[in-house]
Amino acid sequence: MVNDTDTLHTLAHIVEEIAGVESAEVTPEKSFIDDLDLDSLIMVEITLQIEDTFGVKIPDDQIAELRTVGNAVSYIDGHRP
Amino acid sequence: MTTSRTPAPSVDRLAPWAFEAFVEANTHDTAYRPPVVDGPVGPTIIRNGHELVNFASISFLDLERHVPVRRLFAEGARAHGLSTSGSRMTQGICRPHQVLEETIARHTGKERAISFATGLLANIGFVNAMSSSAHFDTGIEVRNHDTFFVVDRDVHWSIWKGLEGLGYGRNVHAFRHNDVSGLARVLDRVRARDRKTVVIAESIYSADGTMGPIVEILDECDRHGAISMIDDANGFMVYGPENRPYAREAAAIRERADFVMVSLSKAIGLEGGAIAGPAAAIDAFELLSGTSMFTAAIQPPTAYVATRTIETLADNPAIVDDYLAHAARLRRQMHEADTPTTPTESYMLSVPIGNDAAALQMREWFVEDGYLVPVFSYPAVSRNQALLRLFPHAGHTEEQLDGFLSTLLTYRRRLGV
Repeated sequence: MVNDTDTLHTLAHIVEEIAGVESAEVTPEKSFIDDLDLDSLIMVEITLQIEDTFGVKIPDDQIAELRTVGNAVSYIDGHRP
Repeated sequence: MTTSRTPAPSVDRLAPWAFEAFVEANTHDTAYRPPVVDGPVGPTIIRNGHELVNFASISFLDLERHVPVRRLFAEGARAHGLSTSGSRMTQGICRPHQVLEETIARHTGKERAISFATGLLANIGFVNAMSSSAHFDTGIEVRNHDTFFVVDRDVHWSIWKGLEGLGYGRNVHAFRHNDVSGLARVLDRVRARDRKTVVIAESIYSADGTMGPIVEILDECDRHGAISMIDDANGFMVYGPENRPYAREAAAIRERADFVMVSLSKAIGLEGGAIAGPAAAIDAFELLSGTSMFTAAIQPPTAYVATRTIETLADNPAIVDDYLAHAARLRRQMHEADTPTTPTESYMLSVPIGNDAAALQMREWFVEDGYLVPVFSYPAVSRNQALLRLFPHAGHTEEQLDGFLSTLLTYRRRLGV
């Protein structure tokens, strides 16, 4: 079974590396835009890094649905190869 | 036999583009038919028969007082004609272009400069040239589609347009505005030293009037082996002398930046742009930029006047010194009147208003009361981060500036902002 704590942990490090937000701040209930103060450009970079790291392609029309960190973790875990 | 004519395209065929609905939805906020100015643009302009004190002009030195611009333009037109009428490579450039390019190279401290019809074309041409792949014959090729660009988020539209299609998040990254640690983080993450990396930032930014952390940006470029390009559109011929603000940044641009972009539409008061840099690269840009070859050039008389204007500004520093003091005085008066401006020592005054609706209302009232004041509101800036962006003009009188300030204060009280 996929461990979503691992996914969260990895995603938090991606966000830290790309956006400079401390990984401890990247928790499931946080909204990328409103709580973590990330803008659309950073989200593009994070999405690409998610694709590279997890092998999960996120279609453009899904990106807007991934409002929170938790949404992203669920999506990744639900679509991992 | 009647000949059938192809019917004119019907308006309905454009319906999928939704232009009409787009324009209708926004006309309360945005004028889609530009206002028309009668007479020359200066510290005041005439629109619809009304004179407005003009804070929108990006050419602010009132140069006709110091340089007989129109007489020189006529002289240049008589000697060199009105149009280049041919490509740089096939027919050649006019003598004023060559002299202008040499003048710009000298004043930017670079080996060579190439001119473009506008600064926008200079920027697009730069990105294009640095990321082109071209193969003509064995040994006559460049393969630069793997160039990696790292840009300040707030760089001009023309840079972003040039970068379009190069793959944001792959070959293009951005760092938060003026955030050197953000730049460093990106350069580390992408292992810039192992790639062909170009960092692009501006000197004075158009929206907030701030000067970028040029020295520190160039330090990071040195640390990571990255090429630097500084868009100095708003700083060219304004900053440099030790007695003016930002002498340190101007010296760094001159001595350390690999490439610099300059505009002729700001302090120089004309139209056109140029990229200056190492001679071998600029020579290659003749073929690789696209925007110097496949379109019109600066009009010859404009190039003729531009050279003389640049030399006049260099030989008569009081022109810009006096202007900077004039702009600084208005900033001081605004602060004394408890109207904060974005922290910067540049000549551009950026006044945060906040609420988008309030800022747009102010814009309308200003026009009714005789002032043309540019307002940046959403989507040009984030929601409810609206601001007034003012260019004080060397030709503005004390009375006009005092009148503007007291009008602004009245509106702020009226709107509670």
